[in-house]
Amino acid sequence: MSDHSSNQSNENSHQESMLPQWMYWVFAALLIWGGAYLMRYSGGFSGEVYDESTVTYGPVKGGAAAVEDPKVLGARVYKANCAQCHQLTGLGVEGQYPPLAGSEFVLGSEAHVIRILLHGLVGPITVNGKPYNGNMAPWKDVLDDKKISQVLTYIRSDWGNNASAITPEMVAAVRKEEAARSASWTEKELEAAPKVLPK
Amino acid sequence: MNGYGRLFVGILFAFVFSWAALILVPLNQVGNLMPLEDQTSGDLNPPALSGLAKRGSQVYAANGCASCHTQQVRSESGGSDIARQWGARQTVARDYLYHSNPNLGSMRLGPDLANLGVERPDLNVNAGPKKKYDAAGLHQLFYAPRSIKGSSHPSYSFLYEKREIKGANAEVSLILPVGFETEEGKEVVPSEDAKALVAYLLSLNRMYALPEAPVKP
Amino acid sequence: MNGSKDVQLEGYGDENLDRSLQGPLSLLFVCSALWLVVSSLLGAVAFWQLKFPGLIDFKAGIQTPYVGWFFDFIHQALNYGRAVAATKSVMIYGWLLQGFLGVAIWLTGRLTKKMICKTGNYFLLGAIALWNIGVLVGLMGVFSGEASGFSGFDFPKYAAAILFTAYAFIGLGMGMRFAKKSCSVPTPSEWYLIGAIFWFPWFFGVAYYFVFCKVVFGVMPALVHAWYIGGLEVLVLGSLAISILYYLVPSILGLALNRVHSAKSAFWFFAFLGAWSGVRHLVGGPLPAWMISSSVVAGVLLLIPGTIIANNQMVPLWSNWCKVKSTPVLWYLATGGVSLLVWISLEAMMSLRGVSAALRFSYFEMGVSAVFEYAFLSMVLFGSIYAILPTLTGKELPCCVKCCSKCQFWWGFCGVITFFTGTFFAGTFMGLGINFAPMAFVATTNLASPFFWLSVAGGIMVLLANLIFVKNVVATVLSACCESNKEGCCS
Ligand code: HEC
Ligand code: HEC
Repeated sequence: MSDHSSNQSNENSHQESMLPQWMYWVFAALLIWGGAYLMRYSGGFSGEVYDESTVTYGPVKGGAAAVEDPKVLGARVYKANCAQCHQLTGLGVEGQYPPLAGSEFVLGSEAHVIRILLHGLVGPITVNGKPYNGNMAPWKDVLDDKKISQVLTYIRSDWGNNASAITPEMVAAVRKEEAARSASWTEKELEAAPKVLPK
Repeated sequence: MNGYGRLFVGILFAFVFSWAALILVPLNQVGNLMPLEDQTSGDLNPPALSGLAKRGSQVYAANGCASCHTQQVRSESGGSDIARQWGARQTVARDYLYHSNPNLGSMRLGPDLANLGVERPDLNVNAGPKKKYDAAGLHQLFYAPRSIKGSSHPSYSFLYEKREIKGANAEVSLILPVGFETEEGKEVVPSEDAKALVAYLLSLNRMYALPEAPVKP
Repeated sequence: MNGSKDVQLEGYGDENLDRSLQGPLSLLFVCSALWLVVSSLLGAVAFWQLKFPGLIDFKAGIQTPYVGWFFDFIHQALNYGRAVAATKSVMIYGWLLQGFLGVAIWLTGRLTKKMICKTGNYFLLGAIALWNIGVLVGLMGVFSGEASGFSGFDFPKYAAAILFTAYAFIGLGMGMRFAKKSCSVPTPSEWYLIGAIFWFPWFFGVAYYFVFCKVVFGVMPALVHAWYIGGLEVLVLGSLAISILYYLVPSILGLALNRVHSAKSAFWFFAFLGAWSGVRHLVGGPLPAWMISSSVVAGVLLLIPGTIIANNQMVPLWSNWCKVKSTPVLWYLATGGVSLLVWISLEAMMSLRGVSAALRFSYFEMGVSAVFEYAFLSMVLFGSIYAILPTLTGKELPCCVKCCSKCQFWWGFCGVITFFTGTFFAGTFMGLGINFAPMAFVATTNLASPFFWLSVAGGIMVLLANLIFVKNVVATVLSACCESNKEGCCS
C-alpha cells in the first residue's frame, strides 16, 4: 500500500478529518454518563436484581430457599451423558439405541433399572416390541449415587413416562448388594435377579 | 509480534471479554436456577411443563408467533404491562426454567402472552369483565379468527384437519359458531401440533410470587 | 489514472488479481442480489397480511385435492410469522452477509496482493454454491415449520451447519491470504476486515452451540441470541461495511488510505463496545438488571466510534463534493456513512429505559432495522458492488446500468426515508397508545393505521429499487460474458 499511497497522499485531508475540539468534550461527557448510568441501574451487579430501579443492594430477602428438583438436575445429567445415544426425545435410534420413552425397563422394576445403569447392559433385548442387540457400558464409576438417582427420576418422568422417583439411598443399596459384580447385565440375568429392592 | 499479530490478539480479546462477561457470568448467575417451594401452599414454582406443552413451545416458535406476541412482563417503571394486567409482577429468569426457548418476542402487534393461562382483561373494551381462555376458545381463535368479533388474528387453519365425522368424537372436534360451521357430515379436529400449542398457551402462568420478584398486594 | 472514468480503482490494485475473481464473485453477487429480491417480496407478503389477515388463507374455499394441497402449503409457508422469519433470515444470510463476504474476498485480494490459485478458485466457487444451498435449505426449513424462533437466527440447525461449513472455506481462504502477507502495519480497512473474518465464526459458533445443542435452557438461549445478533450486526456486518468504506472512499477520491485521524482509537472502541451492545435488545426483559444496563451503556457509547468513523468518511467526501455529485457510487457510500451514525443514535435512544417503555415492541423497531439493513448496510453494499463489478470484468459498467444505478439510488433513498417516517409515526402513536393503559388494546392499532400506509408506499419504492439492482447486476455480468457486447456506448 505504502509506496502508492504516499505519492497520492493529500496532507489536507489528514488535517480536515480532525474532529472539532468540542466533540472531545462531548465524548468525555458520554463516558461520564455511562459510568453514572451503570452505578445507578446495575443493581449492584447482583444476579437477583431484575428491576433496575432497585437501589437497595445486598441479598434479596424473603421467599424460600431453593429446593433441588431432581427432575431438573436429572435433565442436565441426561443431556450431558445419555442424549447422544438415547436422544433428547428419549426415542433412541432404531436398531441401535433403544428408546427410553415407554420402555418397560425404565418404567418397570426400580431395582432392575438401577442395575442396568450401574453395571451396563449387553446382548439381545426387546424394547417397545423392537429388538436391539447392543452394549451399554457401566455408569457406576462415572456417575455417583445422587446423579444416577436424578437421571433415573428424570427418565422415568419425561416424554410421557410416569413412574416413581428413585432416591440416592435406593441406588446405594443396589450398589452395595452388587458390589462384587463386574460384568454387564443381560436380559436373561436380569429376569433371574430379584425385582424388589434390597433392604 | 508484528502489527497483524497484535491486531489479532486485540480482536480475540474483544470477543473473549464480552463472551466471559455476557455469557459465562450469566451462565453462573441464571443458568443453574432451581424451582422454589412456596411456603404456604407447598407448590414448586415455576410449575413444571408437561411434555405436550414443551412441544407446543416449538410450534409457537416455528410459526413465528413471537413476531407479534411477547412473553415478558416489564416492571412497573418499564412500561404499561402491569397496568394493563398482563401480569402481576416483572418476569424473571426463573420463570422460564423449564422452557428451551423462552419465546420472549420483540414486537407487540398482539398482546403479551406471558400469563395467558390465567384470567386476563378483554382486549376490545377497556376495564370490562375479565375472561379466561379454555382450549375450545383458543382453537376457535386459531382455526377461524374471523368468527370472533373484532379479531384481526392470522388464521392457522392448516393446523387443523377437516374430515368425515368418525364415530363419537365430540370431545376433540371444534365447536364453531353459527355462520362458520363446516358442511354437513364433516368435522374439524385439531392436529397434534394444534393440541400441543394450546396446551402450551394454557400452561403460561407467572402469577406466583418469587423472592426476586415479589407480587405487590 | 484516467480522469474520465467513473470509478478510479485501477491504481491501487493489480488488474489480473481482480480479474482472477471474476467467476466466483459474479456468481456470488448475482445470487445475493436475487436473495435481496426474494427477501423484499417475502417482506411484502408479510406486511400485506397485517392489513388483510385473510390474504393467503384460501383453504376454506378450495376443495380440489391437488390445488387444495398447494394453497394449503402457501398458507402454511407464508403466514405472517413464518414470512417475517424468512424475510429477516434471507435478508441477513442471503443478501447482506453473502454480499459483504463477496466484498471482503475482493478486498482481501486488494489488500494482500495475493492471487488465489486455480484450485483455490474452485474451492471458492464450491463454497459460494454451498452457502446458497444453505440459505435455500434454511428458507425451506422455515417454510415447512422448523424455524428456531430466534429472530435473525431462524434457520434450522442443519441449514446453520451448512452455512458454517461454507463460511469455513471462505474464511480460511481469506485468513490464509492475510497470514502470508509480509509484515507491515495494518490499515484501517484491514482492522475491520480481519476483525469481521474472525468474529463471524466465533459469534456464530457460540450461538450455534448454545441455541441448537440444547445445553442451556430458560432465558440463557435468549440471552445468547441477543448477544449473537449484536455481534453479527455491529462486529460482522458493521465492520465489513466500515472496512470497505475506509478503502473505497479514499481510493475513489484519490487520497491516502491510512492517514485518517483517530481511526485507531475508534476501532478499539468499536470492537469492545460493539461486542457488548447486543443484550440491550432485551431491555426490560427477564434478565438481571446489570446485564442489560451495561449493554445499554455500551450501545450509547458506540456513538463515540460512530462519530469518528462517519467523520473520517464524510469530511473527504464533503471537501470533494463536485466529484461526489458526478459519481453515483459515492452517493451510495455517503448515504451509508451517514446512516451508520443515524442508526447508532436511534438504537442508543431506543435502549434508554424511558423511551423503550413506549417505543419498544412497536412498528418503530421495524423502522430502525430498516435504517440499519437498508440505509446503512445495503447502501454501502450497492455502492461497493457497483465499484467492484467493473474491476472484475475489466470493462466499465454498461451505460444503461450506469443510468439505472442513479435511478435505483433515488428510489431506494426516498423509499427508505418514507418507510422510516411511516414506521416512526405509526410506532410512536401505537407505542404511546399501548403505554397509556386506560386505552383498550385493540384501539391502539387504529392509531397507527394512516402511517402504516406511508410505510407500505416506502416499501414499494424500496422493492422497485431492488428490482432495478438485480437487473443491473445480471446485465453487467451477462454483458461481460458475451464478448460481442461492445463497451462504451456513452463516452
Ligand atoms: C454409547 C451409547 C449409550 C449411552 C451414552 C447411554 N446408553 Fe443406555 N443403552 C445403550 C445401548 C446400546 C443399550 C441397549 C443394550 C442392549 O442392547 O443390551 C442401552 C440400554 C439402556 C437401557 C435399557 C433399555 C431401555 O431402552 O430401556 C436404559 C434404561 C438405558 N440405556 C439408560 C441410559 C441412561 C440413563 C444413560 C445416561 C446415563 C444411558 N443409557 C447412556 C447405549 C447407550
Ligand atoms: C400478525 C400478528 C400476529 C401473529 C403472527 C399472531 N398473533 Fe396472536 N394476536 C394478534 C393480535 C392483533 C391479537 C389481538 C386480538 C385479535 O385481534 O384477535 C392477538 C391475540 C392473541 C391471543 C388472545 C390474547 C388475549 O389477550 O385475548 C392469543 C392467545 C394469541 N394471539 C396467540 C397467538 C399464537 C399462539 C400465535 C402463533 C401461532 C399468534 N397469536 C400469532 C396478532 C398476532
